Amino acid sequence: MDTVPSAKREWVLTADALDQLLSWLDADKHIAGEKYEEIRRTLIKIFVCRGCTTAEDLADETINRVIRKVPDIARTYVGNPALYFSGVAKYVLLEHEKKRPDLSLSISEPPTRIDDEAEDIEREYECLDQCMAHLTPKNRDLILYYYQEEKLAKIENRKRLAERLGLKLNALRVRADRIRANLEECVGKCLTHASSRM
Amino acid sequence: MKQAVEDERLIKQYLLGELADEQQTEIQDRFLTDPEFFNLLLLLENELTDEYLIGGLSESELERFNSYFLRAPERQQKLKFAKALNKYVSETATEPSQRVLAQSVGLVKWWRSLRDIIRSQNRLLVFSLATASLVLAAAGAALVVYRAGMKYEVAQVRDENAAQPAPLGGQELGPSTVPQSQTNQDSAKLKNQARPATSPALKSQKTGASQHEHKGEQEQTRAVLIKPHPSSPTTVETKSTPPNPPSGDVKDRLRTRSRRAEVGAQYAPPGRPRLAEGRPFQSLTLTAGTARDVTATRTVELASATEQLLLRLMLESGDYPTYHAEIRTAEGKVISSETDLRPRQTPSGKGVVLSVPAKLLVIDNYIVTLRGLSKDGDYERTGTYHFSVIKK
Repeated sequence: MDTVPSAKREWVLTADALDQLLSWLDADKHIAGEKYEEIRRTLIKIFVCRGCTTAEDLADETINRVIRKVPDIARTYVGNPALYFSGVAKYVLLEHEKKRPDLSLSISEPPTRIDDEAEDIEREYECLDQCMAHLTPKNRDLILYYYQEEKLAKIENRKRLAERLGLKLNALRVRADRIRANLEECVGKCLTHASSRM
Repeated sequence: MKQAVEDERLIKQYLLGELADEQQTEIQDRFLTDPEFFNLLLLLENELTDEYLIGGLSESELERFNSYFLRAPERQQKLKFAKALNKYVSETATEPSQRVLAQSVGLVKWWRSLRDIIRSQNRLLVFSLATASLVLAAAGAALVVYRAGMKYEVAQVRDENAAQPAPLGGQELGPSTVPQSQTNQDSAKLKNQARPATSPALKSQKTGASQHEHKGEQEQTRAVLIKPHPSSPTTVETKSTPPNPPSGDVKDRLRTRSRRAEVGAQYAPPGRPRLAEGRPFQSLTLTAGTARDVTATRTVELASATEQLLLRLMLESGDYPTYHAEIRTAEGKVISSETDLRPRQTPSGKGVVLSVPAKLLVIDNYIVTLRGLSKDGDYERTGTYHFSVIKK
């Protein structure tokens, strides 16, 4: 089980402290809020990429540590504040890995098997079916066509689709991925909703 | 271009945990400071998962994928989603949706251009009209050819059946299929087209005993201070209403399957019209699966005018010269059976095709058992297929 590195026990997040962080990120509060969210989202993904099972907690711990440091560094820090988060995240990750050596970045232990999940897939499929119905016809067509076929046939298929839509292949790729991300999010909500009713 | 390729290579290595610490730090810095680069990470994460599913990873990549990439629960969830999407697409859209795309993109653009030319009385008017006539003529010809092809297929199946011994149970059997009906399209949209932020504005803090004590206070503090910008893609939640969870109710399941079949009807091959009242046959492509595997069950909505249901049973493995198929209801009553069925190449792969008189099919769940005739003269089970029938 992952553990989150312990923080200074006496420290408490206050409105002032958070306000200072936001001011450091940007003078405009709205933009600062956006930057904050973007940084948090990226940190979570980074921790996921590094194999952490408590990525959100680690991202929040990173942010908390930066918030504690802001009063000391805000006036003198030069450069993109996001990079400071990166440095702190590195230490948080190191501490985290020390606390769970069995799950360090070695490749000794395979992940949980996911083969025995027929029911999960079934639920996932049902949700996907419903989420597909929420897409616009155009987007539904695009996603179904984009993911058809395999290997070489798939590549050719996508070239034809891009031509038909008047898009460059990479633009089509990005568009399909965005639709997929929306679908994935919708399915996630559907699954959560379903499990909360079980 | 070269840089983009290099970026993708680096990110892929990062995702598989193949980079040295220093490189990992550098790439993480870029994720935090370059949103495009971060979006590329998200895209490649999905593509890597897809590559895994289609067996496109090298041996070493596969090892890293299993031992490193899949370690986080989020990734395992992502894989489940990719599997579901894969199945959905292969079931719903086994055949290209060129017609739909042509309608939604090509024809719309073409019509707008023509309309503009007419309005402006451009000299190109005559040429455009001539082009339009040619396009219409070509589409008409394609439709005629298609219909002739389908008629030929049905006739061929009937001829084959006629040449074979009388079916067990005395009922005519033969080849093939794909459900086709008018799609009821849900007009609801996922309103946020951009990739939405998955995190709420400020998450609860779960670190350390002291932080636990002050969790509520921290949340309150953050909620007060960070208010979403009206136009911010990172703070605006996706407006799509979470769909209702799946119900265990059989009727709901049937409805869901029916809807899936309707969606599938959109993806007919170019020129292939949807099934309309008055057409004599419908078709359904089936892949082998277990009764539990709901994704392997297809539903066909039989129109009153349909005379034949063509079942196309896709072959997963084994290659026998001839096959025996038996159709039973869920209660075990044999509806029809057929021997000496020969495999044939279909647009979806190798399969066996049978034709079932629609009058034999009532609203029910059906099981098709396919057996291949081995060299020793014994029949060996090669697959079980499930489908449901509902009627208009």
